Amino acid sequence: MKKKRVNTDHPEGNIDEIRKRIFAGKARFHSCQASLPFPEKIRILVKLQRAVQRVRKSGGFVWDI
Amino acid sequence: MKETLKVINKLRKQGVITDYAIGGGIAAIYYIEPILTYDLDVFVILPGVRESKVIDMAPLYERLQKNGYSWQKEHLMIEGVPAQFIPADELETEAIQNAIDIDYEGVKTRVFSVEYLIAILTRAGRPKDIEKVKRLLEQASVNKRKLRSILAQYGLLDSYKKLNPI
Repeated sequence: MKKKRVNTDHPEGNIDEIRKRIFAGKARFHSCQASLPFPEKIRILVKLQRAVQRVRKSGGFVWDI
Repeated sequence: MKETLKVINKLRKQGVITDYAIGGGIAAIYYIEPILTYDLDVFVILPGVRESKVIDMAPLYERLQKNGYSWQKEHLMIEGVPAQFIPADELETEAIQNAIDIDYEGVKTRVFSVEYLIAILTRAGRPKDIEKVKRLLEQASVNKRKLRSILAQYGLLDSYKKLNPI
């Protein structure tokens, strides 16, 4: 029998506590992204430009670096 | 971008521009998580601009075009990056003078400090600028006292308070 996966970050409990934990996790993620080295952020930017260009099919621009 | 920055540094070394700092979306990315942007905003102080309010961008454009960089709409394409050179006004000149030195893959460059960046974005006031201000306040380490002083000096405190009512 397949074991049920339990998200240990969000156990059963008080709704306010769980929400607080979820939003704190989001904030941690964004702050982690913000603290990446600048060249790494620029590489992510180019990937974003590429993704947008694929979706839009026409237009958009990708840095050629 | 490394090669683009080398070209801009060379312009400063040659005296085509007196000084510069990166602003706009790329400066914001230095402080916050990556966001989508397409151009590199380069705020410049041009030679002789202190004496006269009349500016001449021609020497800068001519030098870049002579070096093979061409226009694409309103941008100059420099080593694969669309760059826009913006002659600095009073606030931006002060921001350039107080910009921070950073190293981008071994190339020295300058970026607006987060406090000046917030002041400039607050003044611009477009929805996308306001969004950046909010993210900067959330994710960057901002010296609030310094920010308040810049905002007060340039009459931007009310605009800032409207953006951040709490």
